[in-house]
Amino acid sequence: MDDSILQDFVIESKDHLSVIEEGLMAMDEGDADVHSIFRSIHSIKGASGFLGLPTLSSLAHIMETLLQEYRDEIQMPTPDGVDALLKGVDLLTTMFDDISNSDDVDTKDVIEALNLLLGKESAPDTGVGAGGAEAAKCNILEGLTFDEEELRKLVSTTDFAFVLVFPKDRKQDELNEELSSLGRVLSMVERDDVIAVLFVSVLDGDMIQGATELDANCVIDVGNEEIDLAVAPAEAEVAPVAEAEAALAPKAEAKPAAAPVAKPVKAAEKKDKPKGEAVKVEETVRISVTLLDHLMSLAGELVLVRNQQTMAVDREDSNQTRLVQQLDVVTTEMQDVIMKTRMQPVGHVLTKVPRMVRDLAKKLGKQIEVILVGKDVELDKTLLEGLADPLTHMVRNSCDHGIETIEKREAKGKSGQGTLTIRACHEGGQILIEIKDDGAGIDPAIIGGKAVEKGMVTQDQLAAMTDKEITQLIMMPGFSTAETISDVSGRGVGMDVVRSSLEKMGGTLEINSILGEGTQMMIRLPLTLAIIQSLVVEASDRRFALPQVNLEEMVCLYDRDVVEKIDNVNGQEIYRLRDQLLPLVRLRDLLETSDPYDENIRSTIASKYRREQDELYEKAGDEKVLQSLYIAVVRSGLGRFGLIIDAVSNTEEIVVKPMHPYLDSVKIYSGATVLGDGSCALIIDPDGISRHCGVGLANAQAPKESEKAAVEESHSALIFRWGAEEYYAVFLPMIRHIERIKLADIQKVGDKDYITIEGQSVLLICLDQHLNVSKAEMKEEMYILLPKYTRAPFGILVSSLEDIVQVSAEIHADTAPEDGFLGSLIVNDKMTLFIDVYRVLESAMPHVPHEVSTNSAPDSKIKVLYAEDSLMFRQIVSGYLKEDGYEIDTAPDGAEALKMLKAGDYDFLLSDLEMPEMGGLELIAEVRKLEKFAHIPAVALTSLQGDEARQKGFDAGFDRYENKIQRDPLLATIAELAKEKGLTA
Amino acid sequence: MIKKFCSFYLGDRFYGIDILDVREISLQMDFNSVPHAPEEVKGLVNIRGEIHLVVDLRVLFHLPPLELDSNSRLLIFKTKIGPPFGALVDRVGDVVEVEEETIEERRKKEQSGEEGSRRKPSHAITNGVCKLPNDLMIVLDAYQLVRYRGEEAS
Repeated sequence: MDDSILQDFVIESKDHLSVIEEGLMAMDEGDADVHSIFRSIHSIKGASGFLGLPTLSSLAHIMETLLQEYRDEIQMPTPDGVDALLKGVDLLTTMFDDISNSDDVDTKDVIEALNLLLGKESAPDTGVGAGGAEAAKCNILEGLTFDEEELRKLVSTTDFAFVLVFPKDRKQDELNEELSSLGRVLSMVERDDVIAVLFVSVLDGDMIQGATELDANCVIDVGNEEIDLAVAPAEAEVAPVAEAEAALAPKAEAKPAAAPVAKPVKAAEKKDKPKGEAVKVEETVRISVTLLDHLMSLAGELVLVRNQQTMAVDREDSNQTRLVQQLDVVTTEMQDVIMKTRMQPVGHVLTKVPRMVRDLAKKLGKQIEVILVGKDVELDKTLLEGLADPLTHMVRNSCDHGIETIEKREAKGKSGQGTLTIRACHEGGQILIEIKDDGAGIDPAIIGGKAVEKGMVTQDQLAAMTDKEITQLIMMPGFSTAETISDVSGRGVGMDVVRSSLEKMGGTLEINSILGEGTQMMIRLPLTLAIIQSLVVEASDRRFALPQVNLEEMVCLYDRDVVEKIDNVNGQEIYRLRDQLLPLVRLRDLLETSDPYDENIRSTIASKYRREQDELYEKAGDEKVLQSLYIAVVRSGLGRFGLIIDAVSNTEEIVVKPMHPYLDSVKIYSGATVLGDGSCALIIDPDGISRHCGVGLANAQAPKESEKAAVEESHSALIFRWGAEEYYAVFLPMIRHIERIKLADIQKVGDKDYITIEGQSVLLICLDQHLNVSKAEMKEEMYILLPKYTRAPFGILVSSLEDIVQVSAEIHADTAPEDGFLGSLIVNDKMTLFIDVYRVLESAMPHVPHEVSTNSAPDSKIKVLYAEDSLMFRQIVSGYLKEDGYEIDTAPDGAEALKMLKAGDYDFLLSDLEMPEMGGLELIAEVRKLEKFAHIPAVALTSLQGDEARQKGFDAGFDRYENKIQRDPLLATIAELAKEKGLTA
Repeated sequence: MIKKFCSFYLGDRFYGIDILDVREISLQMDFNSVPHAPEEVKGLVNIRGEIHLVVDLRVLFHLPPLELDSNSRLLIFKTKIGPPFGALVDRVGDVVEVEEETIEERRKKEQSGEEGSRRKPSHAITNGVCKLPNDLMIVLDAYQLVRYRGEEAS
């Protein structure tokens, strides 16, 4: 027979089968398009007859007959009928999987069941039954010992029983050991030339077959029927029994359609049944994957031609330009579409779940509702295929052991029906699949006990573990053994198999469980072909892509801070980031050091830079050294660390290409990518670097606290754009008003732009005139931001407003990339620069003298303590003072400030009035009581205005009273007071 | 049977590689180097959107290094050989046609002869030698080349 015809038939029929299956499931719920099911089975029957596949054809035929009766309303679909048909579908699927051996499949049971439904007693077609009867005659359990009752119980509940047939040369004890990790060996016997093993497991046949590396026909399912055969009295010969059955069966007519034994049931009732909508099948064309891959590489080439053409085009010729632009648009779109062809909705795998759960629930006597969310989420084809088996197993686990029986649930006060939710979604550049049940959950006490018993952890280790960590133990290899099936309700058996197969695809598995409430299993998968957001950074004149997922923030150190803020702990360079020690890795040196870091390498690097800095400062003498240092705060699975890079280039969406296997030994990259200009860049792997440099192991847990703190101290920030590239932000509390303006309304006076708002002339500030940023996108309509606390009205011109977000105010003053910025923060996956509104204002109004104050005695720095509860103001004011040569410490409230004052030697106190714990007035009262600080210069810095408030401040003991955030007056006041008090000359 | 070889030079040594394994000869020489990679890895190069790994055959065969010049070429192998891969050579020669029988296979010799000593990279990826009228062509195995892991393998 022509193989290609057969192949086409198989592929086509599988499509039909899924239509039938879906239809039958719908029928189960009471609405289905019987016609389409019938058409599909009819097609299978027709073609199989034509191709000479008798077993297949006769099974399809009898299924068709039953469906025909449903269609013609000779009888109504019953759950039993649907069941039998579904079994038929299963058998057909098996046959199509191995079409050349389809005649060997035993269809007897199903055909009998179907015949029964058609009102016939037994299979009429002996030709069909013969093969099956033969198989049944052979007692596969021969010689194996087992407890009949126990086995029946196992088989009818959650487990699968198999007879595994191994070649004779395998050692029995080895086999025993190997198998016990997968399930339980009940009996083992040597017969003829093989070893037969009776084996029970919660894993299904396919997984067992994979794990034992046996051929499919060496893994034989054991069901009740086989047990019947095995326990049948020896004298009752099998063959006669079969013959007797055959004799009992009345001869059935050949024309199945003419056998409507079951009379139509009340016609009226049938009419009431809603027809339901037809199962929609999207129109598709079959394309081979090779062809798609080829198409994709061609698209890549087309892009290159497009790029060259774009450059070559004569810009003067408008016609040519237009054509090139069109080419550009079409090419980009085409590439996108072709990329998508490899992606398939995760629904392809998920839709199989309801059927599986239905069968399981029936078998287990439970009620389980399945909720599928995110069927449309797309995943690369290969990943999707790899996902099917683990998912099946996890669902099975949830149904078997997670969700309790109806009685148990009701006893616990839950609804009798359990719910299994499967949710797929995109999250942080990954695909997340959540399998959640509202069942019994996992008891960490039992799991922990088992783990200790197995010697996987010690009692001490266990005591130190959280419940969540204990739960993860069930995924450890070796946790699943035969005993756990009964003792720990089977949870965990095979979970290590599931985990390892997910990890092979680059995914992860996490288990969360609340005892009594349910279990949640989270699969995270990468998108191999996915496009990820990344920050392109530079080091040693090379460019690298740093995935945004791994990037927490950027820190930039300036001038002296480059030396002073970096400490050396046992040779490891450390940066103190908001009270957290951040180990530093210099990318430039890392690239030159292919050996894993040891103490020697680390200290060599550290001392090299120390020396470099010393020389730099020696050479500069009294002159100010201008330098900067970029630190990317990178989070890896092992913790976080600071990666020192030479420069930040831009953000870019990159397509991840795997590393060439030739470079398997190089662990610090996770792949490579082509950047916008056509050059290649390596993608940094933070985990790899962390391992290579031996950093980040200790502080994996540490950041959590600061995150909490950051949430507490959050501010609203307004995100806006000015140039085409960057995102900027200002703290919303600093903005008085936002106004939409028309570009045409801007008036030019001299070289300055003004606009009239509420009858007031407002000076407009364009960021690119005062900061080193890209040019604006000028639009018809723009916005201006009017800040609070300004001497003269001015507005910052922005091209578009993006968002208002809550961000942590943790922008350290020394992270400012340059003058005029407070620092940067990653907001919504984009690097956002926070603008120091007041510095921008100063540079915009140069007529205001800059040197308001100068600390005339730089070698004896004035030490200022600043008490303020708002972190944002703390940062801004500290920045101003530091800039002006003061040394400054901050305290979040009065009580803390008092403590610090007592402990340290401060020359100057600056305090807010309204603070938690202890306000400014109380603070100054306490301070004045101390002998040492009776005359310390103290300035109240507050937004409380009015004479009464002022007077209160002076009465309490403040020397000066200032309104917040006016840099120059503030500095002038401090300088003046310091002079008055004799701190400066 | 006549086999066709794409021939090339490293210094004055003459090499050949089965022409059916070669997809194209490229002039693209702007490599992005890969720190930490074995020293023979010249870098990555983007050829029509595909990232190719380039190995400098000179370095692999422990020949003295040579500056890139106008004769330098990249042999890019077909995808059946493995993931995108190219080999940097000094210059390419003509297509050489030889009777398959005239290639003396190194493998056979090695199996009968001295196996114990550490195999040099040039050995691991050499299929045999072929005498030409006025030259000796060393036949390389592209498949082995792509899979050769530099120092790690030894």
